Amino acid sequence: MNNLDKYNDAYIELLNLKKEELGEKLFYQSVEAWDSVGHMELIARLESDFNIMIDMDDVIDFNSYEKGKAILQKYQVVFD
Amino acid sequence: MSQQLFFNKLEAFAENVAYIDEKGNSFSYHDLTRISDALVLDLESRELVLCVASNSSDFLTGYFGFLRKSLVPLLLSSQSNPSQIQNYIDVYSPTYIFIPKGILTLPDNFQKVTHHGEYELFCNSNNFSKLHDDLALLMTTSGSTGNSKLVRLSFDNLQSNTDSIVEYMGLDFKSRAITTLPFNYSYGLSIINTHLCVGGSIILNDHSLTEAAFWERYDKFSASHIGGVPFTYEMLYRFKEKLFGNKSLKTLTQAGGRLPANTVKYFANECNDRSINFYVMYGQTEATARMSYLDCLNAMHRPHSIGKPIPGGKFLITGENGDEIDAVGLEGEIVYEGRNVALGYATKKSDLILGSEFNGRLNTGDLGVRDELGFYYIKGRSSRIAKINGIRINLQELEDFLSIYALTFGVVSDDTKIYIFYEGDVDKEDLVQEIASHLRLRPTSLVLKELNSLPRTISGKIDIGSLSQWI
Repeated sequence: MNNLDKYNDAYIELLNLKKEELGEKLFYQSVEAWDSVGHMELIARLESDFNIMIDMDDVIDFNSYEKGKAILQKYQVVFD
Repeated sequence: MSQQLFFNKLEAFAENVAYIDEKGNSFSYHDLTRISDALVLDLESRELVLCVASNSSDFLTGYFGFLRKSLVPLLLSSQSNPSQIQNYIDVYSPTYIFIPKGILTLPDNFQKVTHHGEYELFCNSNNFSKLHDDLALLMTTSGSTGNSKLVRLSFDNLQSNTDSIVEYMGLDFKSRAITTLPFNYSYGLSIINTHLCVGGSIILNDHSLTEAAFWERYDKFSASHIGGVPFTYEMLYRFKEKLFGNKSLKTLTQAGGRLPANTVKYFANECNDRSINFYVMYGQTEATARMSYLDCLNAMHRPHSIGKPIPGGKFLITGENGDEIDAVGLEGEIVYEGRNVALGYATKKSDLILGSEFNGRLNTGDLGVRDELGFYYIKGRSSRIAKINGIRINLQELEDFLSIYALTFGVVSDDTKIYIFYEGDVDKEDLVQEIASHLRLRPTSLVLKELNSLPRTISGKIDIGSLSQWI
């Protein structure tokens, strides 16, 4: 599985979203499941799937699907 | 007595900062009483006012206005959906309704009286409420699904619990809390009441700890006090550098369910090193808010304990016949006695004229023991109620709900997750979503497990006790 699939699966499985819902329009709190609890679960899941530790400030800055991708790239996660 | 109530003595704190609003503006106690009293000036006292609560300056001033006018607020969550709010209106027929603009279309018999910032106040002028003289406030029992059960709290309940908490925490006019819990949740409300009782301040905040805006307010307005449920502590652990980076922090409190012992120890040690007070607390809405507390030093050494009763309160461990078991280490139901024990429940309008039914004595439904030093420990639960991040889930009700699937279910909980065991064939993913939305819990708080056969007692009932081994 490539990194983008892994990234997408975290949203699909954890926040119960459909693939069509992922993208530029997906923001923190734009869907009910992505609330503060969902956010912490999403971060924990990404840390575990990519074997990284995300900094406190990045956890806070991670406020959209696209921003999340940009942040993960700081941790050497490459999206093709 | 009314002169002794904290909300009638706010004027004494004159120019102290009472609250900092959403925009960052400070308001004095003079401002608070002026704005609160202006709202209620023309209202009838001793009437029921249904409120959808929020951590906003508009709601805070409304709440104090109502209390000061001896109106009885019925506090509902801003997460309530319109049909739930409508249900409370139908059951209790409030004379006044105080809700954020545009969240609900009210029945025709309600006329708009005024607006109050983002809130509007409505009145049914043909209605009047029959309320017991002692009744001060109505709160929901958290997590109840689809019913309209309320806890009836008296003026003395509010005042005595507020006084007890102020005493053991040593809160004073320098204390400044930032809101992290819902206003309509007894623990969240107790933070507001205690701080405004002593001339301290509330930083109104509606942001989650995962948002930069929360930490900006936390630093900028020098918060000294944060309260949280177990999930809040998961976040505080993650954001510990921000949390402890603010040197004005003086007090951390935790309630709303069991925090893992290693987390208790972590925060107790960190707080102790920094001379910050840390309290693990135990309570229920039926006790207004708090029943016991464990301070920082004791939390370091006995992180499993719920501590000792609050000042003025008392625990009894009782056997099956309800008599006290006066022995160290013997398990029984924890019964609490104190002035903060609610008058009773309400399930219909006519219950609001009732006086005390609990008579100062509350069966907590929790099983516990006392050690030789007088510390209490919870060992289990006699009633089938789970508590997940402050939300109470009735496991029996859940099993009843699940019976529509025509399968056999057994439900248990360790207060971190709900475990649902079943026999038979079912689409697990769908069921998880269905239950989560029914309980308003997250899917990850649920664990579904199929068993070839559920354990049963001799009489053929599901053996709930032995299900716990599968957790």
